[in-house]
Amino acid sequence: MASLSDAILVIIVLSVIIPLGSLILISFMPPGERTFPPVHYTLDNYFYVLDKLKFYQNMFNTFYFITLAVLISLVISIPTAYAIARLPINYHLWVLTVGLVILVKSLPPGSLLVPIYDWLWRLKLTNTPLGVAISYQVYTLPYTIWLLTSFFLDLPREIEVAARLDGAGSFSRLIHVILPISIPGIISAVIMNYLNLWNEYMYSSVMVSSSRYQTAAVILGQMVSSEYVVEWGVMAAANVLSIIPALIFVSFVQKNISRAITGGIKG
Amino acid sequence: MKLREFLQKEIFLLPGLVGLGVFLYALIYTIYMSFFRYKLGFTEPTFIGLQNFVSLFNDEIFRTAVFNTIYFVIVATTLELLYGILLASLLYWSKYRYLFLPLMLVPMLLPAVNIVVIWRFLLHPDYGIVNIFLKSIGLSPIDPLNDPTWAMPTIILMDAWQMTPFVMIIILAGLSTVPREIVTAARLDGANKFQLTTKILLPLTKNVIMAVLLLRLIDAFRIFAKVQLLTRGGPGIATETLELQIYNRGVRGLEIGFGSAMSVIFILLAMVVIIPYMIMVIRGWRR
Repeated sequence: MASLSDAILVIIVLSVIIPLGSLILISFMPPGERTFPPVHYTLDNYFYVLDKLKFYQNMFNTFYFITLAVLISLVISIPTAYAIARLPINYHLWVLTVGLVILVKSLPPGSLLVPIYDWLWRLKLTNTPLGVAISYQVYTLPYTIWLLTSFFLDLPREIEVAARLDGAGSFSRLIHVILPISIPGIISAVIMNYLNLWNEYMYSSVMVSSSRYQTAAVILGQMVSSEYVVEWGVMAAANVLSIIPALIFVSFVQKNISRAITGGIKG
Repeated sequence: MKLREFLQKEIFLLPGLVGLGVFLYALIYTIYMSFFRYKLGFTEPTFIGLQNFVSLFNDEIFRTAVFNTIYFVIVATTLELLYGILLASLLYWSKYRYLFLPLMLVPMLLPAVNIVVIWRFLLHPDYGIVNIFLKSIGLSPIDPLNDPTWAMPTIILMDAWQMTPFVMIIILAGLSTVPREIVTAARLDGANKFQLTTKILLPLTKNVIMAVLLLRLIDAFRIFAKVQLLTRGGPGIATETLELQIYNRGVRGLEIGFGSAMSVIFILLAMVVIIPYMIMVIRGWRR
């Protein structure tokens, strides 16, 4: 009875596992070989990627840029999300702010690439970590405000009442009441930003031309586009390495993942 | 008194409004620049009226990019929605849900660049698994990425492979919120699983389905990395999209004015799906 639908599900699961498994197998394929499945296995590709290409430096760049971007976004987002979710603001101003958050969050990043590149170039901020982090705000800022707002909205109304009766102002309620219980929400927001931006390609490749600040995604992109020059095994090994941090980020937010994706859509 | 109230409430919005205001200004600047000829680092902006737009309308590559973008958004979203509903319904009734679910989510969690590499390996004309398999059962090998007819459908298939789990998990979460009593009652009335799913469960989940549809539509406009790395818009111009054009001809070509004109058309198209989403969120968050 149920076996037909389970059989379909098994096929679909296989369609996921086989491509991923083949990537891992290829990453152990010796240089010069191009048969699948590989006949011999070796760790050389991993040594090459880390030792010769210094891929860990690119991965560190990615990590560094995202960290900067997330810090900027958090400072801006926490008070803003708090006001959207919990303060009795003038309605028109509220709609304007929410509309702006959703607009920037939904615009395709490519549609803002031209002015942002123009400005950062003229400010001499291209090829600097700060410049990349500023350009990443296209992704991180609206997303962080949006996610934190949905977390703050779900906190019970009553929690601020006692503090308000004690005469605490909005700022001290945010610091002493809201923030301490929102740590898990803030941590998921941070990790989701890492996950979303881990292989950001468009802005990372445009904002940086010097090899010193190239991110892991850009290096992978270069390998893919020069497929016939780069060994398959090397490309696969770099890929496997770059997937590992992404999986670590996911493992941190497992419980909250579906809400972090949807912002808590209600049925 | 007014100031005091402002310091208690509206001032909290200020950082966000300033930060997002920069992007709003970027949007206005883009519209403004679309009327100029401006090559970054080479010329100062000169006003040329609608000339950028006129050139765009007469530009075959750009027209193809507009068509491909719309085609991709509609076909990929439809495919992912239907397939996602099917998978969510199958999983809802499966006893092994907790075994299948995590495995099925993996592609969605992988970054686009990794997905492209995996698919390049799969579809390689000589060494890809797909062709090894086809040859082993006596069929001739395929090379869809170098075939103008099949390149776009392949990109759509790749996107569906990655993003259907996203649709699936959200709809599954929606299905799971339908009260058990309704399901049990319908079962007692003799409804089978198929009737229960199509007549009761899915209709009760329609708000979630609408939301996920909008999110996918919005996201489908941004397929940049996948296309840029998989085909670079080729073969020929078969897979050119708007983001690719803005990136390659606008920004890489340093043509800020021309790129802005392309962005304006891109934004107008995207607004068709963004506005309903804005309305949905504003309604949902209003207290």
